[in-house]
Amino acid sequence: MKKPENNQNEIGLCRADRVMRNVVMTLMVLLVIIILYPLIYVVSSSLSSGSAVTTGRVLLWPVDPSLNGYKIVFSYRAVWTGYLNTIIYTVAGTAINMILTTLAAYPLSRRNFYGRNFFMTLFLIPMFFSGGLIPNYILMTKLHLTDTRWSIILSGAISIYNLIIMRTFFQNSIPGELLDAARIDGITDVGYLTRIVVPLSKPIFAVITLYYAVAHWNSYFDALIYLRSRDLQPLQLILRDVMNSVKVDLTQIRDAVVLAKMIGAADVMKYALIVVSTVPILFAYPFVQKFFQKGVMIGSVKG
Amino acid sequence: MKKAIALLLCAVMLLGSLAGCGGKQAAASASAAKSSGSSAAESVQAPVESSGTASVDEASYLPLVKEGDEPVTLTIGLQQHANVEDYPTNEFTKYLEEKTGIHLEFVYFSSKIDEAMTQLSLMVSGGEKLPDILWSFADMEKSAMYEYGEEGYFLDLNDYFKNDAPYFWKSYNNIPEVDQDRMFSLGTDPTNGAFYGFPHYIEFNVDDYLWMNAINQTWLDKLGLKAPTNVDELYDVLTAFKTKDPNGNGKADEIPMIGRSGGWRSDISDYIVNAYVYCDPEYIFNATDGKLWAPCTTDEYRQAMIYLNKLCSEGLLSTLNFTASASSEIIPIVTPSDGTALTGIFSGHPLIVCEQGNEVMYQYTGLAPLADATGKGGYSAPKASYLVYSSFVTSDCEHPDLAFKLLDFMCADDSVYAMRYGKEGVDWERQEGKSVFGEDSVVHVLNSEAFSAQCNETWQNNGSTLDTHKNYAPIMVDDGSYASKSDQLAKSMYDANKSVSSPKELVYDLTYTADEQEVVSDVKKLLCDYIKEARAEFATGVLDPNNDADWQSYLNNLENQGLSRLMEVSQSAYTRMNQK
Amino acid sequence: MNTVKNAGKGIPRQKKRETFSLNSAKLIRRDRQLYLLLLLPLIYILIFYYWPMYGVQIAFRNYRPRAGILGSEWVGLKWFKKFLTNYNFKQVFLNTLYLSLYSIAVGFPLPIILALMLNTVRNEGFKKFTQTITYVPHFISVVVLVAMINQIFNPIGGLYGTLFRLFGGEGYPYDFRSLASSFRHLYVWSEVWQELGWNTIIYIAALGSVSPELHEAAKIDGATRWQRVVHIDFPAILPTACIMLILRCGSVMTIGFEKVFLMQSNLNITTAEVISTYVYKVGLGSSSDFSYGTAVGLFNSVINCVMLIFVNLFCKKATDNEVSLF
Repeated sequence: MKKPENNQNEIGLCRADRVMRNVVMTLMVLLVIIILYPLIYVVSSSLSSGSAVTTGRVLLWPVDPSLNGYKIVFSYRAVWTGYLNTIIYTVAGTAINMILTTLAAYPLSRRNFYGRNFFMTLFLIPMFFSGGLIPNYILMTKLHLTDTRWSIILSGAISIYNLIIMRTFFQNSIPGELLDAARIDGITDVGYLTRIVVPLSKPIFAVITLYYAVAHWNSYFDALIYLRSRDLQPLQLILRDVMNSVKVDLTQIRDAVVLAKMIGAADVMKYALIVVSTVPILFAYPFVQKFFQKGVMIGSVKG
Repeated sequence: MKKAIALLLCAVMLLGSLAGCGGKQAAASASAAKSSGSSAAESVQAPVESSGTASVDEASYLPLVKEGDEPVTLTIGLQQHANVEDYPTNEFTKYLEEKTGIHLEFVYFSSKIDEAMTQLSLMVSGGEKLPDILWSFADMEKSAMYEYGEEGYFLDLNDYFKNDAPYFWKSYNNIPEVDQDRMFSLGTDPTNGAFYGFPHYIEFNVDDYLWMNAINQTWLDKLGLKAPTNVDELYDVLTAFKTKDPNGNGKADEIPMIGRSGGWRSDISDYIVNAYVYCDPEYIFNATDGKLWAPCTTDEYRQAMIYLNKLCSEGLLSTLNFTASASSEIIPIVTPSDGTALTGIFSGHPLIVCEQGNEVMYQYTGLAPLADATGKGGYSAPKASYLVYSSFVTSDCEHPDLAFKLLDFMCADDSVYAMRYGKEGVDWERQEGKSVFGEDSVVHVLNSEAFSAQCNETWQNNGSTLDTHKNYAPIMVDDGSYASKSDQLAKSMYDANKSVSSPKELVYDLTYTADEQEVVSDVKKLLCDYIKEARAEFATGVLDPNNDADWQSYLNNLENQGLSRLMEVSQSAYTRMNQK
Repeated sequence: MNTVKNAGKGIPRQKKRETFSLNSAKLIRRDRQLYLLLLLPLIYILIFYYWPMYGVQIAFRNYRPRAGILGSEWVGLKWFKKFLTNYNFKQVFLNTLYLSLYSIAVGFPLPIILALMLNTVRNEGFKKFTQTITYVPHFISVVVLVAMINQIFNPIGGLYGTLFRLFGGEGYPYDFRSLASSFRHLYVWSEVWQELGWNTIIYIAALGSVSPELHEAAKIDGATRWQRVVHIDFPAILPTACIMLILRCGSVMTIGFEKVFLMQSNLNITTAEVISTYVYKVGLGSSSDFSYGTAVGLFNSVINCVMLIFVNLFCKKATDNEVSLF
């Protein structure tokens, strides 16, 4: 039997590989610890008493555990409508985002597209220059979209940043030969897009969907500007309001008992809020991860 | 009294014609009688006697919209508070609607003032109809108020105050005279003499002395020392705290003195500086005989810096005072290892800056301001009472007189109780007792949730009312609880301030014209930041106050930041406001 | 037509023009479906991004809502002068730039390295676990992040203080939290902590489209893991990396307001005052602030634009015209 050239042992790793593997694993473990500790701290703080947090007694595990922070957050009824609204905006918004972005990214990714540079520049300019709050608000007013859900869904529907990333992917990860081969089979541009590019672009679609979805989930500024009714407001906006409401203002409150209560609440709520507003979106990533599998391109191009 | 008023009116009219009313307002004789800067209280005369016996005949005055009249709906724009469940069905809303007969609708703005102002600007830019009343935009910048008023979005309320404000004037008679004088002068637009905002006034408070400092009495007793009265004694006391282990745990872990800059009355370096020269951290200038000067450039201030530097370098003043940056961070008063007392002297309102419920708090007692080494000094000053102009009637209002009367009705005593405490009999009840100010109070709080959790009893924010000690401080509860003990500590801190001197002339809120405002916004915040930064640098040794070159570079930087420009502008505003 | 003269020069001029217009019509017809695809996004950006652009002129006017944007008084470069001639401008501008460049220098390569490393891990479970953990910090709000930094490095009560005492320290350790010299490091490294995992996502996706056959072939040829990373993985993500760098440099002046503002203290103003916080502090509190803010924003945008073009050119040269934005 021919001996493998680089001293592979039975497990199949040569010495250089083993060294690399150990280095990588050590670094990974260190990284996980560095990142994990503060995350545990956040969760523990949200489960501790307010004074334990602000005096720094919380180091790793909850001190004086209580669910007070969560109780307070969920006692605001608006938090529930906030969740519902955010889900609506995220789902509808992301769908529209993906359609518009894909429709624009594909033509711009074709190197021979006539007018490519012109259109690319046209799309790039808004990334730097915008009219600002006032004209945008006036536009929404003219379209009669203020204080409706559409103002949130349509505002910022194309992120030029995401568009560029998607275009880059189309350009570099889908071999040009595929197009030639498809042409021979008589496919049109549109057909090529729908039947070949889209199925092969699962990783990039997963990433951009995630980017858009998270942006929607975290957004509050558009809602601040365009919405007035509380029952249309998304979660983040409401949570910011809630956080603001427990700020102590000695011109408003004079009663010592009330003051004491409020101050205790503020500190714990901060951390509980994080958990409340973050946990749902965290569940999205594992679903997205499976689109990153290797070998999406297997068999597409030979030679 | 009447003679004085007549004389003043003459002077005012003279000044009015001199000033020429160069602004845009061209209203009738009323405006000639009001000139920029003079106290407009003289021109807006109380329609009732100033003896304080004014009363309103409620049976005939209320409801404002009588039965049989056309129903009136007013929209109120306010900053939505997250604790309020539902404004339209709120108890306070019901109270107002029943008493006045006006139906109320709401338009909501963000609870943060800058965002609310942005929303308002956009509403105006988009040509939308403004709500009839904008209520309790407490932190709105005066420059914004003047702009909206001058552009015509807010109505000039001068005439309404003259004719339609019975409840307001009734409360007005109960407030201290110095505040009566300021009530209108502070909010009048210097360009055109108009008065746009309904005042919100709160008579000054336990913590409205500039400093709130406490010293650990148990430690003093243990070491056989007395509370320091001047800076040299302070040095000795702090050294004793540091070296003699007063908390008895065998470790030299005491922090002799600490504060937290950026918190409410909690920067202890302010306290030290004021042993040498009166220096208010927010208002940069002092005044003597009408002329402004900057205390932060004087030799006394330099002495203060040298002293601070000495304290910090010997570990007697914790540098955490300057470095603890988060505003939510509290001052540590117990050691992390064994929970004994950690700090000798700290600064700030105990409920806010210290950990809740910790009994170490009981060891502290109020500390009076210090004199400097020569026995001079020891300044503290009562801050002026809280006075802002926060409610407005907009030009889109179709019933401005009714809108104003509604605002005025909110100044009634019963309305203030309802606004602050909720429904009578349910959330509070009438009783006799003393408040934390030592004065009579009639409110005994039954439900303390009304301000701290989500409920529907009040609007949570306090609006444009005249709050005197009598109508807003509840009866002080002395039940040995932590909260009430902290209140008492706060009171002892307050009492410690009463005994010392305060400067005769104080420069507080100034009202600027548009041109002056440009300079002020350009310079003021950055200058204040620089002064604090320099002080921290002198104290922690980054700059050496003994070194002439360092001191000179500090003075140069103050100039570069615009100190003289600001002084010039403030001087003209100050002079204008004090023309008598 | 001077056929003889032009012989060897290719198509004679007039014919070139004819050919050109003939070609362009042909090309348009050829790409007609692509234009169709582009139509909807184009309409969108024309309405929602280009129509409001007339508002940029607010930077040259003194905005008053009553007059509207077009009716407000024209003041030319007043706001730019106010911004650029202020005593603090140089410091504030340099702080912003420095912070950004530091952030890019550290924050750009690390996600790439992490993605490459993760890609070499064989254990699927550990890989997924690490990926999930590392991207969670992205969701922590700025307020909590700053509070956490202050708590953890608290010399009296936090982790820092406790560890110090644990290892036998006397008294309290040095508090470096809000010093001028620490600000930049705290700011940048906390950002790395927060964004590292999130920023690897795009690179992991790009690595997903590398054919495993390439790796198999390389293994057979005797390549070590390291060599495979350098010669297969790295070139696969190079185009993505270049584009990300260009985009990142295109927002070099955009340092957000909230995090810096929360981290400011009395001692670090010299390094912690950036353009966004500065603009906030000199605000007039009136409608002119819109004008001033827009003027400063325009200033920033121009610099961003220039930076982007410059880095784009650099990438073009470095990758032989293969990878660039335009």
